[in-house]
Amino acid sequence: MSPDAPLWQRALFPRHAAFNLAVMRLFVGGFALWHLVTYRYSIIRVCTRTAPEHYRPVGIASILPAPLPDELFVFLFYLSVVVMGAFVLGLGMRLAGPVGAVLLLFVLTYRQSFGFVYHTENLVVLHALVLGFSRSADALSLDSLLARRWPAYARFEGLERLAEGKTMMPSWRYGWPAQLMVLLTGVTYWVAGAAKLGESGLAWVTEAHLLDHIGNNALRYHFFSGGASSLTLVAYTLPFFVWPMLAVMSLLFELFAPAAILDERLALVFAVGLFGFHWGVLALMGIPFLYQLTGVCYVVYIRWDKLAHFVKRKVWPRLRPPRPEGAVSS
Amino acid sequence: MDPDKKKALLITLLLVALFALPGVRNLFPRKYRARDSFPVSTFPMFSKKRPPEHRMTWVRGRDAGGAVVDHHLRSWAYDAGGMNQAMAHLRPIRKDDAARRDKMCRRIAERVGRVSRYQEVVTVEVVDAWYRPEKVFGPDRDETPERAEVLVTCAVEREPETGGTP
Repeated sequence: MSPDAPLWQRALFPRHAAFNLAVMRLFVGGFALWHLVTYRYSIIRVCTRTAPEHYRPVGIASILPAPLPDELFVFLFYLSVVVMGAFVLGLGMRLAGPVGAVLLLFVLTYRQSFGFVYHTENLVVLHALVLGFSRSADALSLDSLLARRWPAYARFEGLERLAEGKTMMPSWRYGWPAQLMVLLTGVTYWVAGAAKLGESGLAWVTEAHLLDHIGNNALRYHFFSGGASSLTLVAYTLPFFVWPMLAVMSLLFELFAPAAILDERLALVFAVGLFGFHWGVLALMGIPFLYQLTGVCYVVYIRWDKLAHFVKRKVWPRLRPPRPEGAVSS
Repeated sequence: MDPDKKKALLITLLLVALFALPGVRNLFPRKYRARDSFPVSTFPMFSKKRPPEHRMTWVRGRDAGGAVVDHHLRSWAYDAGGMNQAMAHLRPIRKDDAARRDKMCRRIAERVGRVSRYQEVVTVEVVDAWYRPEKVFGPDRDETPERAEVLVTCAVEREPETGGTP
C-alpha cells in the first residue's frame, strides 16, 4: 500500500503475511473448540432440559419458532465440535471455515435463547466468523502441507503457489480480515460505552453508577452462586472519587476502541487497556469474560508476522549456541 | 480501487453498521432502542441506573424442624442454566398468580429433591426481598433485608430408596 494512500485505506488494507492470520486462526479457533468441549454438558443441558416456555429465540435462532428436538441439537453440537477441529487444524478450510463458524454461531446463539442473553461469547463468535470466511489457513495448516503435495488439492483451496514450491505473498487479503476484527471488536466496545451514556448520560460517571452495579452484581452472586467477589467488600470502603475516575477510564477505552484500527502501536495500547479492564471486572465483580481474560480476544491486535520476524532476526541469534571455532559454514 | 477491495469495503461498512446500530439506537429515547440479541448486542448490562434498594428473588431451604438449612440454594439446583438465566426464569414469579407460583415452586422442589447435598431440605421457599448493597457488603455485613416476603412454599418430595433387603 502506497504511503500516499488515504488513511482509511492504509488502516483497512495493510499488507500482512499469511502467517499473521494463521496465528489468529489457531488462537481463536483453539479457544472456540476448547469452549465447546469444556462446556459441552452445560450447553447441552441448557438447550435440552430448560422448560420450553422459557424459549426466547435471539439472533439466527429466531428462525426457529420452537426449540429443536433434543437429538437434533446434540447432533449439531457435536458436528460443530468436529468441524471446529478441522477449523483449528486448517483442514479443508474452504468448507470447514464457513461451516465451522456458522455452526459455532448457531450453537452459541441457540444457547442464549433460553431466557437470558449472555455477553461473554459475542467476540469469539465474531472473530471466528471473520476468520472462517477469510484465507486464514494459507499457513500453519494441514491445507498448506497438503497443497504442497497435491496440486489438485492446492487448486481446490486456492493455494497454487504452494504447489509450485513458493510461499504465499504478503497481501491485503490477509491484512483486511485482521483489521476488520480489530474494528468490529472496537465497535462492540463502543456500543457498550454508548449504552451507558445513552441510558444515564454523564451521571453514569459523576454519580458513581459503577459502584451501584458492583453492589447489584455482588447481590446476585451472593444469592445465586454462593458468594460475591471478596473485593466487593473493599469497594464499599474506597473514597467516592475512585468511582468517577474508574468510570472515565472505562468509558474512554470503550468509546475510542474503534480507533485501534488506525495505528499498530495504538492497537497495542487498547489491547493492553481492555485486557486490564476485564481483569478489573473479574476482581471487582467476579464476572469471567474468559475470551478476554485469557488474552485470546486481543491476539487480533498483534502483528504476529512482524513479531516472528523480530524474534528470528534479533532474539533467536542470541539464544542459539555459538558455532564452535573453526567450523566452516556450508 | 481494486474491485475486490471495493467488495471488502462494502462488507466492512455493512458489518460496522450492523454492529454499531444498536449503539446508535441506545443514544435515542427508549422507544427507539433495539432489543438485546446475539452476537449483535445492545450491551445493556451496567448501563441503567440502579435504585438504592435492589430487589432479589431467590430460593432457600428449610429442614424438618423448620430451620433454614441453606440460605440460598445455588442456581443450578433449580434451573438447567447459569446464575443469570436462573434469575431471569425466577423473576416472573413475582407477578404470577398462586397456581403458577405453586407450579414453579414444585418444579424447583423436584430438582432440589434430586441433589444429594440438599438431602436435609424438606421445604423450599421462594423469597422476594429488598436489599441495600452498602449494608450487605459494608463494614457491618448486615444481611437483613429492608423488607421481605415469602411468595410460595412447597414440600420436597423424594423417591423412597430402593434396592437392598429390608
